[in-house]
Amino acid sequence: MIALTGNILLIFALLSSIVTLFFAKVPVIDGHKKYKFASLFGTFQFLFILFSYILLTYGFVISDFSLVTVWQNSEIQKPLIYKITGVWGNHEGSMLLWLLILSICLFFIIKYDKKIPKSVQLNTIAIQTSIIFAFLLFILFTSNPFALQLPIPIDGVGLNTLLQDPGLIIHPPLLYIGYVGYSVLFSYSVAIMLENKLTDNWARWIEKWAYISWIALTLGICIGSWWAYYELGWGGWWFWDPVENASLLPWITGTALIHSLLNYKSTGQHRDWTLLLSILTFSFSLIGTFLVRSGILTSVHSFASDPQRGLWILIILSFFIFFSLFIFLRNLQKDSEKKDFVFLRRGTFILINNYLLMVSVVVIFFGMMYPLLLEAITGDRITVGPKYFNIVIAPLVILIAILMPIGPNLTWKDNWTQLAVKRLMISFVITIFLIIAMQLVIYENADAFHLLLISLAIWIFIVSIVDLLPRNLSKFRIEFSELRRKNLPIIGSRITHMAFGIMIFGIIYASAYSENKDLKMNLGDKIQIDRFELQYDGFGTHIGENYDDLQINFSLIKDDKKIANMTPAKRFFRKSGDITTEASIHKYYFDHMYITVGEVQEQFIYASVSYKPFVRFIWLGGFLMAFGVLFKTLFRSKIFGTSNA
Amino acid sequence: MTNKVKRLYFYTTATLLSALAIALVLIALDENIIYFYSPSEINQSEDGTLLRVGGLVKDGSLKIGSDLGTKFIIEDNTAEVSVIYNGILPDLFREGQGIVAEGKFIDNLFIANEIVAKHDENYMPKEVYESLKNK
Repeated sequence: MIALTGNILLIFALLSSIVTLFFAKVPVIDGHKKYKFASLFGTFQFLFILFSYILLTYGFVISDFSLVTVWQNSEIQKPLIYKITGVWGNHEGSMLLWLLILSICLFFIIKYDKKIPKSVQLNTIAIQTSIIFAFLLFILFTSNPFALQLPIPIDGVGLNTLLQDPGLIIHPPLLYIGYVGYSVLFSYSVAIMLENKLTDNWARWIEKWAYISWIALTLGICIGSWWAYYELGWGGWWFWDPVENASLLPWITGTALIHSLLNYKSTGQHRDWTLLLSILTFSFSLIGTFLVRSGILTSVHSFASDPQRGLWILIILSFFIFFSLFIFLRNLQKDSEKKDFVFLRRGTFILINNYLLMVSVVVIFFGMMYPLLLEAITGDRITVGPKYFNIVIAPLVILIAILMPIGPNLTWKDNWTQLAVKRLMISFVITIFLIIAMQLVIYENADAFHLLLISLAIWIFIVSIVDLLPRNLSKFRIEFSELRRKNLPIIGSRITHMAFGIMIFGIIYASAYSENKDLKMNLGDKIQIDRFELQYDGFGTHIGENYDDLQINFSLIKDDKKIANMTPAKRFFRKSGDITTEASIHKYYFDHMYITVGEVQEQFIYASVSYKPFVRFIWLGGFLMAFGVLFKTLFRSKIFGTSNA
Repeated sequence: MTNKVKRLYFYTTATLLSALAIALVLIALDENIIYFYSPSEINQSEDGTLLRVGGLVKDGSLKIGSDLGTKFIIEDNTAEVSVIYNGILPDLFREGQGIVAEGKFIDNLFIANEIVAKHDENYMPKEVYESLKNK
């Protein structure tokens, strides 16, 4: 029953999208009617897809194994939360989630973006609908989550055990909201380009979407990195894995886009570049999906891969990219007025920002695709090591870090103001002072490279704070009320910049000063690591819902006092017989003590123990970055009112 | 300076920086690509180059030594490579399972510094699958 209903719902959604396209694009119908019906059927698409998604979730919850997808990825014994979230723990379900978010976006465009001229709106709906249409075909023909099988098996195969983790609950939806949110920017941008007479307001219309997608993508990437950190048991937070890179690329272009939009809004310059960035960002979302789903790149995210699916996505991808680039080239505008070229103003720094970010995108993309390229040409099979990425990204990060805090201090029009110079000088002095203080306190000798990066992280942090100080202390009160009214969004930006500094600090500090020991321990053995001692106390068992844990007990000792119990575990899943390693992490201020266990025998164990100072700054920074932009988004709409939103 | 000259400076700098970036990329790439071989393709006397070997862990070959040292054999249908690894083996490391080891040859022994066994139980590393298929 579920299979049949599900298929019917998807087909209805497909029909609705065809009808929407018909009303949006057929010229004979009069304007008002066009808009009314296109909106109506757009809403229908959303509803049909929503119902089919709910239906699939229901199938998972009641364990309807007549559905192949449910059978392959679920089992009766699985905890309820993983039945609900397990929907996106597999290829078919996750594509349906992708589609659902596409249609939610369409629904929001129809429902909430009402101030935008109807002609632009209609084109946007049409483009968004055609993306939905393409993915509906993809799902129906290559990845149908409602595929039926008979006879009905008694129990399912079960969820991949590594996915049975709280990370699964939030990481994929956030990442997808980020990826797919950019589809709206894509649709708007193409629609704007199709419109010949332009109002300058379009940057305001699409800004909101640029922020929301960016927030979701940032959170998604952070949570993914955190998940990999504790679950994969390697204690690394970024591996330059192709799939990670695939999510980083739209993040970088999305960041460039936010800045470029600011520039356009304030100066009216670089319209085409801004539009191109929105197209590029969604293109990278699609490329990411293609790379993951086709399985052409070896990665830790290996859903069952099927070349046919890859081909489909490649077709969808090429179509939308070429279509949008064609429209882009046809509508290229010369920057209408060449203004005076003033180097030291904010716009120039945004250009440099965009330039550096795009260079990062190119080098990452190149490193990611090089193995494919080489195999196609010479047949050699290679891996591009993480070192490559570190080497090429480091100088770019250094440049970005030097310049990033300076730009916001400048005005949009003129050269340096005295205030900016004064503030930068103050910040510079504070930074130098802090670095010297840090060198005195910390006994490790930093090498020049790490020291430089750490200093730059502090530099970003300090300038961002100094920049928030009131401009004139005697007028503090007036400034303060002005600040509240007008400058709240600016606070958001500064928080985000500051958070980037925090993140860089964490990344560099944790990579440079972590201590790691892989060793064999007998019962009662004590080891020394950083300022701590760790003692192995034996093992016990713990019964979980569908697994049994073999817990290894450690005592964490500091200054001869026990401060914590740590229990890393080997987790045995009853049904599949899979074993996973569960790391134990003890938080100590901003640091982590991190233990995983390998071989466990009667007499001894193999343990991997790491102490990672300031590692929590990485995620703290990431979340704060998202928070800053959220802050900006919320107050922006409050101040400008919904009319410009 | 006129606007034109200023602009010229700006774009020249950008171009030079791009060239620098490209040079850096090529150097970094040259030093950090790691070739993959199956046991039968490999030249075991090639000492000291970082590379990856992928195949199946031979049944009965795994020996756990004292102090984390493990020794095992990676094979395809025609050739074998003896591997020594000091460290904790991944959960999915089992005899008969496809794995990829990264390391260097020293005196005809492959000293691995990393063992890659992927997430999924059914998942065979792609390179291993393809090199076995061709046999």
